[in-house]
Amino acid sequence: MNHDDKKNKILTETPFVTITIPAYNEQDSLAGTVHSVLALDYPKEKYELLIVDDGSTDTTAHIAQELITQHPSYTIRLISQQNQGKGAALNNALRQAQGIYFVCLDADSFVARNALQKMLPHFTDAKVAAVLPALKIHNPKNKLEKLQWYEYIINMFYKELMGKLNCVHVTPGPFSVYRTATLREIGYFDEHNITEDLEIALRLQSHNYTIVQLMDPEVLTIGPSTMKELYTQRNRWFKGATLNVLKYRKMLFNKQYGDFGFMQMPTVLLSGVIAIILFCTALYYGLKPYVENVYYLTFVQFDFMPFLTHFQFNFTLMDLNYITIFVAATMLIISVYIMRKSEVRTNERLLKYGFLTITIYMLFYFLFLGAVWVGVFYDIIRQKKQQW
Amino acid sequence: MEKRQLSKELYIIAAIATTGIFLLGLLLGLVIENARTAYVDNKYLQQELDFRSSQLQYEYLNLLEEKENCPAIYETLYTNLEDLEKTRVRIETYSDDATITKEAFELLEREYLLAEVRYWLLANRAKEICDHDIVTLLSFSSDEEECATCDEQSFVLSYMKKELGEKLLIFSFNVKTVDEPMIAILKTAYNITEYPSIVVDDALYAQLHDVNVLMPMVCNEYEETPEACAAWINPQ
Repeated sequence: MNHDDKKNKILTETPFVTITIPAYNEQDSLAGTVHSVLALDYPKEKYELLIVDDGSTDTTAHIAQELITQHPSYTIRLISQQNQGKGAALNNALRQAQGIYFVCLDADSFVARNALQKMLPHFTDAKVAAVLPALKIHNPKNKLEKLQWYEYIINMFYKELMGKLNCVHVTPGPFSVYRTATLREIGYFDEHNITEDLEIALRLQSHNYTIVQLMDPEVLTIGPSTMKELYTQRNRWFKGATLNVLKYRKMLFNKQYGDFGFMQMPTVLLSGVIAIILFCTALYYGLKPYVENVYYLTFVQFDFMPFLTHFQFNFTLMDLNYITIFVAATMLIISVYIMRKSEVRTNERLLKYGFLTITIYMLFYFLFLGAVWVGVFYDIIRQKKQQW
Repeated sequence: MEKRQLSKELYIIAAIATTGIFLLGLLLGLVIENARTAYVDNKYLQQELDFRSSQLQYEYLNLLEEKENCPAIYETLYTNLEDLEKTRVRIETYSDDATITKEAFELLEREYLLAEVRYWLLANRAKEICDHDIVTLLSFSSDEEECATCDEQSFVLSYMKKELGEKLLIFSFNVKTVDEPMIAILKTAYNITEYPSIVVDDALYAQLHDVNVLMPMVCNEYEETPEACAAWINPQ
């Protein structure tokens, strides 16, 4: 399916849709998420909204109940359960869902009005099991959120490419639309999985279903605002990716699964290995000269003044390490190309948050991701139990 | 089971593009390595001329005993030697980086090693003629396999050089980089059996020594104590 096919699809009928918001302690964002659903450009009698309160300890259930009271003309139901995790919450809703299509919407995400209008027409045949919107960070305020904004924009371009090869390996929480019957047929969400959205995508791929990635409509999600939150989120994602790829290892390098088995599955695993190698290499070569010099200074009683007072500039262009420069320049050219393509495809402006932010993203963000991957492998080795 | 699409054409294109980038890198490497050898070759020619000039100056001094010209000529020697050392270090780096023109750099390393020896001999002769109060230090090092502490020793010597300036002439010989008979002669002459080893006016100091050992030892060699030695010299 080419880009134009995706762009020109028009909704001709309005099938019944179930939209599910699994929520655990989401009192701050739930109302905004629900309001974005109620504002959908789709007949209100043609969808139901199921809010699953996963044993929240805050006022999430109360807010949900208030929303139901405030909007009596909409079909909104609150399903309460003991805290069992997102997978169980989704399954609880899936068992009760009336819709032909089942939508998962994280309680910290906001959907565009035209989402269903744009997405439903892509269920062209029975092989299409899920359709995904473009995902972006909602109103990034601090530097960390802005860095994630860049990451999401570039990821969207990557996911579009993967979509063209039918290689999408994750159906994220923010407004992934599934065919309800297919989800039931393949056995519901895995309730014990730390990344149930990734697991269900791999399961759909293992059953040779198609997952369609769109660049329009947009769904906005709130990104973690602190390093600790971001680390925890990414640790769970990367760990989930690793464990699920291993769970579905039968697809690895298996030609029967086409590009997905031959390219995407190994890429998910390899990305972790490459991230760790890059992280360790950057750390080693970045810190080595400083550590060495401090160590050497112990032999001269830490008297560094002569090196400063008698410093001589002795450098020619030929002294540059051309291998490093060539690799860096090649990577820079490829990165700029990808960023430019991402900019165009997501209809965003990459300099929106300034040159400094994008520079930090390009030069340093990978170090953070590398550190997360190191943590993931460490956790896997010591068999640390993952909290959702 | 239904077989899914495998985009072989895409993988072939990706492989061709990757090979193209790799070959471009290789080509660039060849161009830069050749530029580096040409640069060092040119530098060597200049330094060869500088050496001949210094040699001629001392022969002239020796013949006419015009010792009032000694300081100026000594300064020339010092500058040439400093320039030589910078190039020697640069060649070592280039040689480590080199992948295609390794042999060319090894030859250059040998040439520079011999140049160090020539300058050392000249400095010794000059010292006799001009009666100049300087200390010459020979530093023997090897590769990391044979000498785990050579980098540390080199750092200490750099520190001393910065402190003592032209009062200290250091001649560095990396015994592992080239197979040079002259080095074998020096090793035998000074009984060098391990690395790092330092020779200060015929006295051998084997193994790594920090500044607390080397500075007093070098400072004691001067007839007139340089300012930088004040803190290091034994008060007695």
